[in-house]
Amino acid sequence: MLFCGIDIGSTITKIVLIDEDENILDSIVRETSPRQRRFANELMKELLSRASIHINDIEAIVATGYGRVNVPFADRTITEITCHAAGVSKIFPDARTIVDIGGQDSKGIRVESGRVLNFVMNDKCAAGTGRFLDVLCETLGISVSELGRISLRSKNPLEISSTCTVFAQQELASYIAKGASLEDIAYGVYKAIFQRVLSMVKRIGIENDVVLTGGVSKSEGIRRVARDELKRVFFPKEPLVTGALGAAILAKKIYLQKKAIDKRKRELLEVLFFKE
Amino acid sequence: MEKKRTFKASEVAKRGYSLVKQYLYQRAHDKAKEDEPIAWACPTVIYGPFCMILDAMDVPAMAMDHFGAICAVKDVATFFLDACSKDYLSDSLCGYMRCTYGHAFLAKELGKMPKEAPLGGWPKPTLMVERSAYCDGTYKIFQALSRYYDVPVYFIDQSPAIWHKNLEEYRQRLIEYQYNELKDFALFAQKVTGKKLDEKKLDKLVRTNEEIHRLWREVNNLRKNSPCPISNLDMWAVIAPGFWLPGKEETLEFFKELYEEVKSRVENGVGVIPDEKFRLMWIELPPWHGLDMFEYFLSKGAVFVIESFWYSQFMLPVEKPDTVTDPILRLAYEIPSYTCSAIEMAKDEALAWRSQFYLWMAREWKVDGVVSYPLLSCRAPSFSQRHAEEVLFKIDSIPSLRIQGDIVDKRAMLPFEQLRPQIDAFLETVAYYKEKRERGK
Repeated sequence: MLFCGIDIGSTITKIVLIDEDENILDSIVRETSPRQRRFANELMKELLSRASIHINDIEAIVATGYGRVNVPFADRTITEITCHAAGVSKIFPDARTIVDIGGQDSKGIRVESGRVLNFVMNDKCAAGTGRFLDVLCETLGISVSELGRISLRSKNPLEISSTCTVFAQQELASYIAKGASLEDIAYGVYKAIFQRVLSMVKRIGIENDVVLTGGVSKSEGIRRVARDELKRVFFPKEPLVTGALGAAILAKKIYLQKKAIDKRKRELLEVLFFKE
Repeated sequence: MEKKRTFKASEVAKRGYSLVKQYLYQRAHDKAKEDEPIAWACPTVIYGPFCMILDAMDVPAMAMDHFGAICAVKDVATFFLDACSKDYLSDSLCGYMRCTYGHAFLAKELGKMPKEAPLGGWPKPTLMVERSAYCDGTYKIFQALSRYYDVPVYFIDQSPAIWHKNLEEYRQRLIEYQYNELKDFALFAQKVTGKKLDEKKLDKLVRTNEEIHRLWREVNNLRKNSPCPISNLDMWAVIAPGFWLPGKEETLEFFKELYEEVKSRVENGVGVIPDEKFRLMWIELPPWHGLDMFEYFLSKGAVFVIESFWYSQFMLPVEKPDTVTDPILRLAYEIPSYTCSAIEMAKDEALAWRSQFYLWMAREWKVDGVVSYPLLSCRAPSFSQRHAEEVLFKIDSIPSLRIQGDIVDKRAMLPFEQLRPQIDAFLETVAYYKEKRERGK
């Protein structure tokens, strides 16, 4: 039996195919296209072709993420918060807090046995999301992947105290003008973003184990800061696909629930009409 | 054209607006034309006592809150807020009051009432009345407005109730204190306006208002039924006559009809929506500029069955001995008694009484989830919200969603498209805890 989850995020779309034991058989990660319905169809076609299967071979599909309503082939839509919780708990069963830093938003989720206990999301501000890194990298004239690598060499990390992306840009410019090392600035950038997200997540309480997900968590820079700030923090190998994985797991759950209900209905019918 | 509603709206509640238009705004404009005195009065709980004392002198009291809220509903609040900022007032002051100040500032600058002012704005006051200290965001604006119009402002001292070892004795002291304050105010108002207070009229107003509050409380009690018979949107519309037309016969008639309508819905099993999945509580004042958001909740089967804010204190009856015949003393009973009763109900001294009041409401109205709305420009009702969320979650496993914003300033709130994923995730969490609680039964 096969199940599928598709997560259409604001910047990245992920699709995951799992078997009945919840093993990932295949996954695709692409930049989100503005024409989401067509894009979702194309991505599904690619997945089916790679796995040499037909769409009818998939028992259930769950769509999640900002664009979840634009997935014509989904059996159900579920929010990314619930899907993240399910996906991360599959990889890290002891996870109690998820810190997700995405391209356009960030969130904290308290979980237990794969279920959401509480959550918090960023408000109308880009500081604390991947966009913060993009803007500051533009100021530094380096790529985001370079920033992570450079930050690992920092010896005297700098504080970026501004909580606003635009003001942080100005702060960076002033550090550059003073001749501060790029390594220390880079670490400061990661620390600033992580601390901002952390102060938001503290509102729901941080309990160990903590798992860091989302596109930003791929960076070694943020991982170093996370290790410095938290006691027990873990990173999935594929932090981008945890939401889609969770969606696929929930697709399986929904399918099994429906099957169980159908079975009970059949049994009831047998009792009512055939057991004379 | 009237907006088509996706839920069962109250036929009676929608008449509240026209009552306020006629008996508050129109009356004020008529009085102004006749060169009769007009008062501008402070917000919420204590407005009723002020308003009735003034009404007994045939002086209409204008409600600053209502003007701010209606500006937000009509989407002109930012226009007046910006006008207020132009005169160098801080953006962190009360949104209602900044709208009022902004419209007064523009009226003076233009030499006439700006066309954007809903219901023709407020005419120039003869006097003003406000509480000292209790609501810091309004207090200074009254001072500024008083200088602006060169009219006297009376600051009444309203003592906030707190934990006390001997609550009954403390309540009596507060009542006595408020009684003296109200009496002094009545003398002041008579002196300034040259009008005499009609005690018989005041007595009638006060007793009618007590009946209005009883009916209001009963309507809220009917919302304990499932399906909930009346929406939060209608209950917020009811505030207009309930708060701003205290003691009036017309208000009493309105509440009688409302009670009958809601009661009939309960008897016939009519709910706000046909399929009530989740029962929610809204903590504190709503975003008057963003009421459409609630239709989204309803589309997901989530009904707000109770809202807390200052008026929620009317949910508790005020015990007044029959021997109290002085109408001003009866009014004085109302000011500290709501809070004292809520404190009395609180069982655990280690938890803030207000949080325990929220807990009481959540249990009484069988709430599955809570949405709290801390207000940027209204601090007093916002300060205990985080604690309340914690208490509700820890004690009764009731999850909450916090939405940041303001009563009138739409710029302070997250755009709905960004809010929607949070609402969806919250409702999934609510479903989980509801299921868990039901399994545990």
